[in-house]
Amino acid sequence: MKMFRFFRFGAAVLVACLTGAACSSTTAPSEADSSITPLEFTTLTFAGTLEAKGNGFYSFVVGQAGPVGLTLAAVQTPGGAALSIPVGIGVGVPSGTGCARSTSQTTVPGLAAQMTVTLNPGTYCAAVFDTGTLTAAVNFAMRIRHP
Amino acid sequence: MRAASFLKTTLAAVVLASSMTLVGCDEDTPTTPTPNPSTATVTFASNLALGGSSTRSFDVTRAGNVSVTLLAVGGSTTLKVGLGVGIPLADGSGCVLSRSVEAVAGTTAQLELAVDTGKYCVQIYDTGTLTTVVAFSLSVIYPI
Repeated sequence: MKMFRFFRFGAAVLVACLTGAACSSTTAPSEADSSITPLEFTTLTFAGTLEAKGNGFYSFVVGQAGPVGLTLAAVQTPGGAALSIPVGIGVGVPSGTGCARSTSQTTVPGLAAQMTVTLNPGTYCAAVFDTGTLTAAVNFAMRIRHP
Repeated sequence: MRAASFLKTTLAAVVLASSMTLVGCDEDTPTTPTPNPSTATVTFASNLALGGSSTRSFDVTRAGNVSVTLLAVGGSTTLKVGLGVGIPLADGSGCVLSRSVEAVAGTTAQLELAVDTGKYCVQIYDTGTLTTVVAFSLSVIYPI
């Protein structure tokens, strides 16, 4: 009888402990978590002239898998006046003398990334191209941020 | 007697279980996240030459909004000059403007735009309205 009571009490305590353990998910990360290496990013500026119906690209090497951000920061007249006209930007892999884009979109210039893609280590290219809106050459500046 | 003993043991176990559960979950009390309101304000004051431009760069350490206010230019409230924000070229040869406006001095931001982490520049330039060198003052508020 005493034994039975002991087991019953023990079972209740076990339930309580398990409940407590289930609630402890907010505890500090264990030592093993600290082995995660934070990504280090490199920022490049790709600037040049984009002709009407033209395109340009810039190759870069991704060292670690992670997010790559493209920011079409500026499109300007040759005189330096900021324009707010849309042009195409994209990411791909260098192919021959060009850039075979796997992702692309049309965007107006801004200072927050318009395109973010996750890439594995390797060589890639960032492209800028006229989508049919240009009637004359413009200058552009694009920021590429990659791990 | 047996029923009383059963009740006593069960009650003790329930009390213990409840207290341990409360202790275990105590740290999960929801809290209201506090937004990070940190911004830096820099005042850029210098002279603007006829047909010229003047630039200053600044570092943004978290994404947010940048606002630029042309506080004074040539002691006039009607004189229009160009005001822009962009990125500095890597070789230090200039500031490529992403957005620009023609503005007169005032107390409300004439230019405001979203930015990511990175280095940026603000530029004031003559749009052809100046007849002489003028003093100017502008402020830039950006997230840090």
